[in-house]
Amino acid sequence: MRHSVRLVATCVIGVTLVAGTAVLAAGASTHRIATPKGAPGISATEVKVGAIVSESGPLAADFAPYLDGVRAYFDYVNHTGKVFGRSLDLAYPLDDASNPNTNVSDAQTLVNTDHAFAIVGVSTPFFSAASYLGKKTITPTFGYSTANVWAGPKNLFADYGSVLNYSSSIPFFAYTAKQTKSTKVAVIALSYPSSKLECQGAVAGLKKYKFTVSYSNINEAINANWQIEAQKIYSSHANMIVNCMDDNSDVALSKYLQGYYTKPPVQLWLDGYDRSLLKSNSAVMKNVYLLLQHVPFEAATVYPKAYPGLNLYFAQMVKYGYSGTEFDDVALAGWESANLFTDGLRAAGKSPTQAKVNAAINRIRKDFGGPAGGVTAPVNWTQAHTRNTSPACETFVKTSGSNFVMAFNKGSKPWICFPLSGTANLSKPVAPPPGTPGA
Amino acid sequence: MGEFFGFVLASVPYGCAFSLVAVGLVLTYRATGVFNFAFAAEAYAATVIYAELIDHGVQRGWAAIVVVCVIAPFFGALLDFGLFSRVPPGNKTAKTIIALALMVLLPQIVETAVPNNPPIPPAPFFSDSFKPVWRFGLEIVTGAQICEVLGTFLVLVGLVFLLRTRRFGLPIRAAVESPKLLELSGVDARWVLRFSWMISMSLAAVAGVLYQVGGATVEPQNYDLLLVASIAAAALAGLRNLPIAVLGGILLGLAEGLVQGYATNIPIVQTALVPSLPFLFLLVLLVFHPTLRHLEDTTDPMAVVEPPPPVPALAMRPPAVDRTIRRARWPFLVVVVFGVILFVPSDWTMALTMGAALSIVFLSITLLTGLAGQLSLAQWMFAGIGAATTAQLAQNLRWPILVAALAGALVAGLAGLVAALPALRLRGLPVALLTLCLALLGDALLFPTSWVLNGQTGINVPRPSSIFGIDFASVDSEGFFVLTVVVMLAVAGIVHLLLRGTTGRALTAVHASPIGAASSGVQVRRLTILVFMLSASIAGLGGAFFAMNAQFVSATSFVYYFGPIYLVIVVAIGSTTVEGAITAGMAFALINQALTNLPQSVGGSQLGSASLTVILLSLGAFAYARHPEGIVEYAKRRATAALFREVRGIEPHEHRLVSAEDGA
Repeated sequence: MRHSVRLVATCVIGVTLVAGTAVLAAGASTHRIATPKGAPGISATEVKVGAIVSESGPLAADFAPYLDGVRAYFDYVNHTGKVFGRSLDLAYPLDDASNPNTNVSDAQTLVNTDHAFAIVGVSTPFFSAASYLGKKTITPTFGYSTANVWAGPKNLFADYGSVLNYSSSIPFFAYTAKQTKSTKVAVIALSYPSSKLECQGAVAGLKKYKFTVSYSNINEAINANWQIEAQKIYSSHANMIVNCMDDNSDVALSKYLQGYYTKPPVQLWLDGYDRSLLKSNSAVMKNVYLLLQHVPFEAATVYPKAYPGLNLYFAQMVKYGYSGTEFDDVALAGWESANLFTDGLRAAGKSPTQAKVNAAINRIRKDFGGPAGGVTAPVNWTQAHTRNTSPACETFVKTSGSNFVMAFNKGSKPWICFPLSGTANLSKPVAPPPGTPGA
Repeated sequence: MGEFFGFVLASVPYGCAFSLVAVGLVLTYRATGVFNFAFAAEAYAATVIYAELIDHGVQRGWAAIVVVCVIAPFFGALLDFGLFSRVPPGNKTAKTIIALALMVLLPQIVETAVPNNPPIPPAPFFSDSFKPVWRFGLEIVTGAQICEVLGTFLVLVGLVFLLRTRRFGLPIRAAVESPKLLELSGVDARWVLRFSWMISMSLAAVAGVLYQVGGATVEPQNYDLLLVASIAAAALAGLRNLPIAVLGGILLGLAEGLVQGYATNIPIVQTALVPSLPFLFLLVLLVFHPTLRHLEDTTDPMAVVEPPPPVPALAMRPPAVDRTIRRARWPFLVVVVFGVILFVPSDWTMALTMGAALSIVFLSITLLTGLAGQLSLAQWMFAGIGAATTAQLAQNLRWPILVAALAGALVAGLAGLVAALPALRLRGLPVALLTLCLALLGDALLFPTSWVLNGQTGINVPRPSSIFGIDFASVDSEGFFVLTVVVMLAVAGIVHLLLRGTTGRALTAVHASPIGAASSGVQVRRLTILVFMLSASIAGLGGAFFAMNAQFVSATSFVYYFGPIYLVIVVAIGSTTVEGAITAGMAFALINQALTNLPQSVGGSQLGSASLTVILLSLGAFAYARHPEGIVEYAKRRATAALFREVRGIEPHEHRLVSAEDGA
């Protein structure tokens, strides 16, 4: 009898609890703190934005410097007149620890909890929040793209355009092989989608231009036995290696390659344009070429008057205390993102909303990645969410001792451009679009 | 042929590192009874210290000597003095828990102390570690390789020599047989065991200094392979035979290298088989190696003089504590739930919901570890299976999400059956090793597969659509919090009934003595299968709610090392009661959230806070030998006793006597 009474009492309390909380929960969701419609995080004096950057985790070194570029640009704007009286505040820089799950929860926190006006920006190996930010929000989001997840939504703005079209890069691998007189090419990538897709494009492109791919491995594990890989590359008689891995793995493989090759083979890296990396690994980074999408940093030294946009970037990075990372292209990517956001904010007028900023950016036909002439070939944002801007333009540097030097350049002109469609004439790159810095 | 020998030469150094750690594992296990899960973590810590010393200008040879001959032995002595010597020799569970806590803590502490991974240090000798010293076609030998092979050889020869000496070797060998007998002959066994710890830590340091892992920087995850391959080599030796452990390590290194060498552009082999090879090998050994099945059977003739293990906390809990908990829990719950809905900021609601989801997973640990006494390191993998099934059914087949979650729990339960079948033949440590193997296989083989969780890209997981106007979908939905709490309470009720019911009593009997339980009519095999399946189902359900809360899952959501972390945390806080599991889940989520809210300048970054949370909560595991009931149960007993002393002036157990007398 006593047990029955207790059971009934427990059930009654339980049901009351569930019902009561359900009613309260239904009511509570309508009592949220109100924010201005379409313009969260904005006041008369400042615009608060967030960022999601891999500041820790196994690949942090490749992504963390991005924040320095953003901060330097915001400092520059805040000290040169602001945007309609509003200062730019990177108020919520979140670390996703190179973890796709944290990336999503960070994005949710920025939108729902922090009420950031924009995300400036995203620099991470796994931008898994792209679907959430692109489909469920209109938050203007900027960033450094490593995978083809930015394409589509009109509020996602990746540096150099939101479409990573690996086929547009195809002529560049073959062009490097031709310029370095390489005949047999080895291609190696990690099993991550971003790395794998790049090298799949490389294999297809090299074959298209009749180069022999003597060895290809696009499924390598990040903690592989690199000596075995070096041996396989060497035994394939490759005299050029296209390397789509992260810079840590690049260096590890290079250490073993030097044991097999008496003369360092030509290597084309897609990652590793980092002076500190080269300084500490110059012995193994011999004959390494790097493919870039911006004006090489070395151009500012060799041709001091040809690149005011790049000089401005260096000056502001040093002025505002980020001199440790100014020669890192990820920091430059942060600068480019911050510039595009600021351009959009200005164009949106005195009462900006997220929708107005998105619309304003999507009207920009020539985004050069920075003020004073910029640092990149133009990106056409009226179409850059769905296709690349033609022609595709890239620059090259190569290692020389413990320094980088410009490669394949014609004097102060670093750009190598090819049309996006058809088979390119590797001997005759086309001219870069008008306005391209240094063109 | 040249290619084959090239692969062999490139693989042998890896095998040498596996051998060194395997020898250390065998030596420590035989001499001290501790299966040191933390060996690879210690090797990692040694590498970081070695790299840091070099970075601070210490010459490489000296840096290696300092790490191997000074820091590592000192750390070994400290571990023995501070932790393992205080555990009664017969309490193997406590030793395993402490070793697991070290495995979890060491990398977190090192990463917190040295946030930027140092570059892989050069070998202690040879000016250019990677320059070929000898080459013939495809076969090259580098300075680093000579260091690794020669270093391993010299260390092993030295160890054999040491174990053969009368002064040092004989007492160690005697301690392996029986520390008690050794003490009867006038030798202080404590110092012999401490010396064994010092040697084994030095072996871990040698492996750390010589092991040239992949990549360019020293990262803890690169030592996972070292851990499992060395466990497999030690298992091949039956945790007994040092020469076979050495041979096993070298053979595993060779097998890894040859498979990698000959498998190019076979994705399933490269991304799945190569990383899983040592796990598969270990799995086969655990099931079929006769010595491992009887690992827990003691061989010490003096073992009977050891005091019995502590009585389970639940059995000792005074009725007064039970009554207090019964009366207080509903009002407490009502206050918490209403408080969350009315006053708690939205980011804390998300954290609390995650805490409730984690609590469901932790309740599976209460069932399997707290009640059945099995140390499972695969509960987080079962949670992953539940989450993956839920996500796939909801996204691709458009099943209602709650139905998909139940199906996820069912599939996880079936996975539990797969784990239970080999576990039927094992008890104690081998079950922990088996479940570690399964978790690693899940990590390397199952979750990265594109059709499971869509790799790193992941899958979005929906939440229930709104019911009666209650919003479940928004990120910080209080409705979803209440739903998760209701499910958590339902699971807690089931586990509570099992703890207190006939099943619980039967499991306790099996835990204490399987043969005794079987002779009393308990169907041990059926019960073992049932408890594995049920706990896996609960973990799967928790995983489904965890995924719904995050609204996203990917291959990295359920990485294996959270299995040991969560086990250690639950055991530290209290694995014998449902309150312990719920407190552990909530504490993990809330401490993490509190630390995340700290300014970055004082360590409030996300990774830092997660590491700090793990460190804070895992430290309690070191008290497991003294308080196997966990921190919560211990604190409750202390608080109730203090309350009774204050209010009634008597101890709680006296109150029971008084009540009984009153009743009479």
